[in-house]
Amino acid sequence: MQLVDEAESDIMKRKVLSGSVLSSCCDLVDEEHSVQALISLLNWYRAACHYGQEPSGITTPDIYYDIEDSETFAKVIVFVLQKADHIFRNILGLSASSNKEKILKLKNNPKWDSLKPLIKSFLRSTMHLVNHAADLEIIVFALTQLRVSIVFFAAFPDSLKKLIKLSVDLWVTGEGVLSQQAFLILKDISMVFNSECFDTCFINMYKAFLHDCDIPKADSDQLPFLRDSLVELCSQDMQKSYTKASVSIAQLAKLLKMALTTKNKEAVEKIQSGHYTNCVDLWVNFIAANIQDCDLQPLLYTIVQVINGVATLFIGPRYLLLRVKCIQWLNHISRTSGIFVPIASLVLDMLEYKTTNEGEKQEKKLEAVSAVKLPKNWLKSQNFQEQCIFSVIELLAVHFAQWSFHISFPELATIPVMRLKKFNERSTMEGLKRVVKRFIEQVELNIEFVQMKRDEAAFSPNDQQSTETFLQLEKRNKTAPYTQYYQSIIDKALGTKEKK
Amino acid sequence: MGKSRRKQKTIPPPQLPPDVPEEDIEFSDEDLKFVEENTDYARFVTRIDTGAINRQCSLKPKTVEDKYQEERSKKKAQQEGKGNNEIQVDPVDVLPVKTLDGKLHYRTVLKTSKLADGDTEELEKDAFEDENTLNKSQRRAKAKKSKKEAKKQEKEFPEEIVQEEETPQAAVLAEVKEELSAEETFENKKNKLAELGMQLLSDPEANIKSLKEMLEISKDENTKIVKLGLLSVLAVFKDIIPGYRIRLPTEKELEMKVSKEVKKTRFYESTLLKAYKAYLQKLVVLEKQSVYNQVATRCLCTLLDAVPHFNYRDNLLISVVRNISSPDEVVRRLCCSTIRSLFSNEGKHGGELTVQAVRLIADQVKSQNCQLHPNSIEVFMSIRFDEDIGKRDREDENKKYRKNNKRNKQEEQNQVQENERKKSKREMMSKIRDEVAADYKGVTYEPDAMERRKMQIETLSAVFETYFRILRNTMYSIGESTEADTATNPGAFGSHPLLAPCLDGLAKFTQQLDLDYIGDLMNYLKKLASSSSVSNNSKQKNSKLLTVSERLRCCLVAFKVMRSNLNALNVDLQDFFVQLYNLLLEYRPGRDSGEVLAESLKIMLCDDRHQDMQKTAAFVKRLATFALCFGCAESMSALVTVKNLLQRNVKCRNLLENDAGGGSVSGSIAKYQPYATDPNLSGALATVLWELNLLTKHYHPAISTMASTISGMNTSQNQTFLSAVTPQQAFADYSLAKESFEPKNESRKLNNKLKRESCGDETKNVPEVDMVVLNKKLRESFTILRDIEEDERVRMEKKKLLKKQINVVKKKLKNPKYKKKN
Repeated sequence: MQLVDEAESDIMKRKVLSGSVLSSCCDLVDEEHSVQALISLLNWYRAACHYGQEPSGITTPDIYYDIEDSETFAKVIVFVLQKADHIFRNILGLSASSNKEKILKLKNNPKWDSLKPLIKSFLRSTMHLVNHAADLEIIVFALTQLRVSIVFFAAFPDSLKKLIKLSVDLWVTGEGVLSQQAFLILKDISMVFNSECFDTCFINMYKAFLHDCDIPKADSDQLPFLRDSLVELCSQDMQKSYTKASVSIAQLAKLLKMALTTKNKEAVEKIQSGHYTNCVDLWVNFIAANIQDCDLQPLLYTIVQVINGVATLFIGPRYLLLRVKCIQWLNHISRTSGIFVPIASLVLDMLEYKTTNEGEKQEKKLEAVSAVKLPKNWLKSQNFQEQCIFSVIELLAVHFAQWSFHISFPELATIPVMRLKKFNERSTMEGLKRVVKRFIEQVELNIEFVQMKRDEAAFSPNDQQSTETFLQLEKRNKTAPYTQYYQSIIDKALGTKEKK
Repeated sequence: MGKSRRKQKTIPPPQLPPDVPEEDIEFSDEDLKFVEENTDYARFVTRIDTGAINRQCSLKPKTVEDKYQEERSKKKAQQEGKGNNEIQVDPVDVLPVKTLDGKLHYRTVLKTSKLADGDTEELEKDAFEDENTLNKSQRRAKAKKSKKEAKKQEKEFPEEIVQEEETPQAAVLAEVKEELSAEETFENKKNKLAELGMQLLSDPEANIKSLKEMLEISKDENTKIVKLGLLSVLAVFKDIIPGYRIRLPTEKELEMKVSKEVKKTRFYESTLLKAYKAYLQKLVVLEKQSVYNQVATRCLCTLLDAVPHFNYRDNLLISVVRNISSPDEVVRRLCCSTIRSLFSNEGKHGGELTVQAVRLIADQVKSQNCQLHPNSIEVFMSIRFDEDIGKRDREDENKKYRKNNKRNKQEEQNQVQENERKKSKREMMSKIRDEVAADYKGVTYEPDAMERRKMQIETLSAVFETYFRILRNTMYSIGESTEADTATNPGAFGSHPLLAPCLDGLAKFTQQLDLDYIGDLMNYLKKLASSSSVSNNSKQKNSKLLTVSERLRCCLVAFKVMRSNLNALNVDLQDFFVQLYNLLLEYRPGRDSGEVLAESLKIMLCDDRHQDMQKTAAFVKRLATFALCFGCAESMSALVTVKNLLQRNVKCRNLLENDAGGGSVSGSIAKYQPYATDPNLSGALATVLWELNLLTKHYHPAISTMASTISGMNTSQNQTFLSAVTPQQAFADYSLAKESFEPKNESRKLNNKLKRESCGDETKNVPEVDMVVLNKKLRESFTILRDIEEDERVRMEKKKLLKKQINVVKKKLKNPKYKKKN
């Protein structure tokens, strides 16, 4: 036994990489593009990437690569990551912007046969490094360098699949830069390998996005980032994402319809789940991002109807946050598309949420709630009522700011102003009354202005062109007091959100 | 089964069941198969002591019954002799069990055995027969069964042996027995009910006495049995109650000598009636207990529905009406549907019950001070009032009369030729015919036209009395609430539970309403419609106030009343317009009924014939503004109304044009007052419908097109055609509940250009990596990894060393001799 053991370890050649060997090797590769040197360099690189995981070097049982010190370790990794792509391209005679067709054509190139295993080794080693490295910066660096060589994955579809999976994982779980880099990889993949990989990327990302959205995340910026990046991905291929979006929205509509007609508990709960709202959120943002460039009218119509349905399905103060969310979506869509979406009745309902004024003061942050449904005891707090009114004003301000120079503004504001005035008559809370009063004053200023300008106009409502140009000049210079007032409210609302 | 057979080996051969000739025994294929498959179990057969068996079998009993008798007496003797220390193995009747009602049950074990052979019914019937006096048919049936039974005996006895084996665990056995017997009695009773019921249904006259028995069973303590009993008796009654009302013979009639047949019928009828009465009394008692409430009500309702012509129907009706507002949903629905069917199938009871039911409900509304469930008034909607009850009959009579006259004339001519005898015979015949007709009338209770008319008037007056009572009550409750709103709290059914169905009913029956009352009604409605929560301006939320929907309904009813009476009365409807004008602003989509709103738009605005221009313009303006703030369904119905109004009022189309000169038609008020509460004072003619501009940008394609069509309407051209769509239709079509959520226009053209080749901002996305830091990190990670590896290697080496040492030691231990030799 003993003897055999010793014999085996003797047979294995122990190749230890030292700094001097490495630098000469690097020079050879860098200057002369020596394939031989590249092979050994990549072997070292592979060993470095697997360092610590495969002590016995299974892939090449007769040679055992070892690295002498940390300096060489760092150097071999950095050198290969930085230069490999360049060298491959140089040897193969490819330009920096060659697409995947060119890569696939390389099969005829005589150099390809010798280089193919090397490229594969490089890509796989790098992926291994990304997968196993403990430090964030190393991963990020490896990812960014890997991104440059994404075209080469065309020759290795299996590795490509692995890369997508890896990137999606990093995208969902990673933080900040890492998540962003992972997304860029995914985006590049879906751009370079448009036809095949867009679907895979999208589906994987979509699933990952919706997977654990019911669990409140510590990092509240994570979800919006994921959503935005998904929207960005979708915007790359409108044809495909249009069908995806319409299928998904139809699904949402179907669920909603079931809940609306049956009103059974299970169906209704499905609607208020984070899954559902996040999905709506995703498509709202998708539509908002692309409505200017593409004709998404049918999608817009359906999603607006769905949101309206959700808003009417959940009535009552306990669903305040959901209602606010719905109106924000509607405002967002309306603002980006320039299409009129009435929200006044939805907003004004919140004015009448019955609350007992003398309820004990509970100083709690309403924003901190992750659940859609608010706990009952909160409804009594004064804070809640304030929140209601502030939301009303904020949402109306967004709505009015959009149409403040439209010729129909006075009529648009009529009913909301009446309702707010009525609220002020009834309310006993002085602080709120003052806020509402100020809002009413500003809106009335706005009404007066538009009315005045309108009286001077000589055209009729059916003259579309003239109405389109009405007050466009004034709209551009944002000096009107009410414009600034609306802006300040919107900014304040954004500010409170960011503070949180 | 197999287990028990194996056990037999140790047990002495038991007494055999009543003997059956060998050739009568038929083995089923299953049996044979079983034996073939389980030959091991059957091995005992070879060891059977045939001699002993033959000895026992030598006695041949005449019938099975005799055998049972013999066995029972034998066993008794044995038990007396031996005492209780051993229970005699008896394959026929094992372990008598005393049931709760004190009867002895034999062969209780059949219960388990029958699981084995699956022939349940027969056996259970046997069990009954043992404890009951047998009637003829049963006895006959029994004789048939005895053969089958005999076959079963074979299969049974293994079970019995098991029983015998268990004798040591007497306590457990007793418990099991008790359970079994409870279950058994339940089963027995159930089956008995079924049997009795079947008998009654197959031949009610012969078995009428079993009714009593069934009623007895339903007095059981077990609620399940009682329920089953009640329901089975119900089924029987429903089937056997005759289509006429039973009149018990008077004493005089009883004295008269009658044929056997008549006696039999009389007996049958009186028994039936007595049982029915007892049953009803029982139901009425049980109905008050919460356990039986539902069952009893179901029985009562079914009876009332099925046999409303029969005796005691008044009592039935009373108890059903009492439950009409029950808090129990099931009970309430049952009662309401029964009353409804009474109303809609008047032919069954000639309309008398309708009057009574309406009266009873009216009394209940009165006594409960209008705090009932809405359903109890909704049933009135099913009453049908026939305007021309009398007319048709009278016409028929006239026709008949004419025909008869003709016939009489002919007959008279003939008569001359006939002789006296024939004449007298004819007279007698006609006399008899008259008598029969009178009798028939007495029996069938078919009221004539006059009576029906009278009843209808009575019904109507009761219905309207109820409606007016509700209106007045609502008004007073509002009046009270302004003074002291804390005094009364709303009942279990909300603040004005009966108002909505009452208004619906009024709208439906306005045709029948007496003109004299209309003035009062309009006053009530006006007050109710204007009872706004705003005018009070009270800070406390007043639950007694009417909701927007209710007030809209009041307006609606007022218009309907006026319209159905062809505007015969000169009542000013202006107030209702004012109400509608303001209610538009108070409407809330989730809270108030959009259907009612749409209906009022239709009835009050679209259908209004002579419209004031000022008022119309005000409504047009307000509706357009309204459309800017609400969902598509509301917007659409408002726009449809706007379109309709503009189509019919040429002058109002001035609203569509921005007249530079200013209000040439604007009338007294020069400037539009959007916040005015009176449509006539709003000065809407001075304004322009700018709303349409924004509405053409509406996300809903239908609304957008609607807005553009409206704004495209021409002032000069008089469009005569009216759109067929009503506001209600529009509301229903565009409400979310009906929404298909499918994109309206499928024509999509995607410009499929890849958006912005993001080469430009790609560089931006590459994060700044500090190479120094990176190098440092890489080095660190290397050192860590190397340390780990070193650590591992050291450990591995140590292990190897250890292994070697162990190996050495082992070798030493293994080969001591070899070592020694060495």
